[in-house]
Amino acid sequence: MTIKVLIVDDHGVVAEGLRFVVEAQDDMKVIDCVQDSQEAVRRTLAARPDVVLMDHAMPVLNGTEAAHMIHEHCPETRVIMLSMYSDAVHVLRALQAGATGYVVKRSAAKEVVDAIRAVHRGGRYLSKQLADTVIDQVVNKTAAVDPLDRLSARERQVLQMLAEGHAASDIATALSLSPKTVETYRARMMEKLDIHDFATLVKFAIQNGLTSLE
Amino acid sequence: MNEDSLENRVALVVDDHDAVRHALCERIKASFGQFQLREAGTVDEALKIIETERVDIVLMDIRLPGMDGIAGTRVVLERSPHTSVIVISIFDDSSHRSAASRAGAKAYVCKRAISRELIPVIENLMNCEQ
Repeated sequence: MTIKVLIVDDHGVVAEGLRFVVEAQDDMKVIDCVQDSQEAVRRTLAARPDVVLMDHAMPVLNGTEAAHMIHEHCPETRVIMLSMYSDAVHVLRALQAGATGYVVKRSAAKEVVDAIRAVHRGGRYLSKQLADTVIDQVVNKTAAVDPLDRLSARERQVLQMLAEGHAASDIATALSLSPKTVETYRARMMEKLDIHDFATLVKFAIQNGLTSLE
Repeated sequence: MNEDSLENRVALVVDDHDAVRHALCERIKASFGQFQLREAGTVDEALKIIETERVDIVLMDIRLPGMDGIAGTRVVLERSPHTSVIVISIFDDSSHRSAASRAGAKAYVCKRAISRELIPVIENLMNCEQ
């Protein structure tokens, strides 16, 4: 049975590299490569791939939020997160959002085939270098507090777009909100996070992986 | 371009993402089947390769762990002056391009333009050397 794979990465060269690796396997087929995570969600609902390779650092809607939407609406599709972050907070955040695999981007081409087979069989996959990090977290019960847990999913999405430089009016249009509501979200999240200026809010978004500098 | 002259040419791809290295190697192989391909994830790894064999072309990413690709370009050219360095980067602005040029890179290709520009740039470099 051929495993249908959807690749989601806004860097064409990375997507291309992953495509080469996946299509070299007799038991796998890439059904599409998309560069937009919102399109990825739509494509998943339409085409029902078996596995989605999702880049975490996607503009407008990051990979974790997209994974959450896919998990909610299409739970039979397994999501493998590809990320440059290897700390426990990011790994656990992705897994809690519904990803069943997490692969560090630097070695994605080497690991992605094993990851696809593992999650397609119903298991989970973590990059080997991450296993110890996550196990330490559980064993030592040093539950890292995720600062983003203080925000709702909608607030996280608004924050990501603000940090990426989108105007409030554009965010309102993209998320079907009024500009006043976007401003309300901004004020509310600054209060929740005890942040008093916009620059610090942007820095928070970057430091916590909601968006990247790329 | 004389295909015989491409025999035994060595191209080294330096990028910390293995998927990117893979894609670039496949592209080069598809157009220049005679090239021998090498890969490195850091400038240090690249220098170890350059110390052991003659490398004709280096494709160098800018953002690398340890030494970045701009500094890496300078060091590669100090150790191997005959090598042509092509800087490959997600950045598409004049400051990165001029930094690459000042470091001695022969060309700069933005990652988003790889499908359009990479092969013609390599062809051009090969033609200039003949």
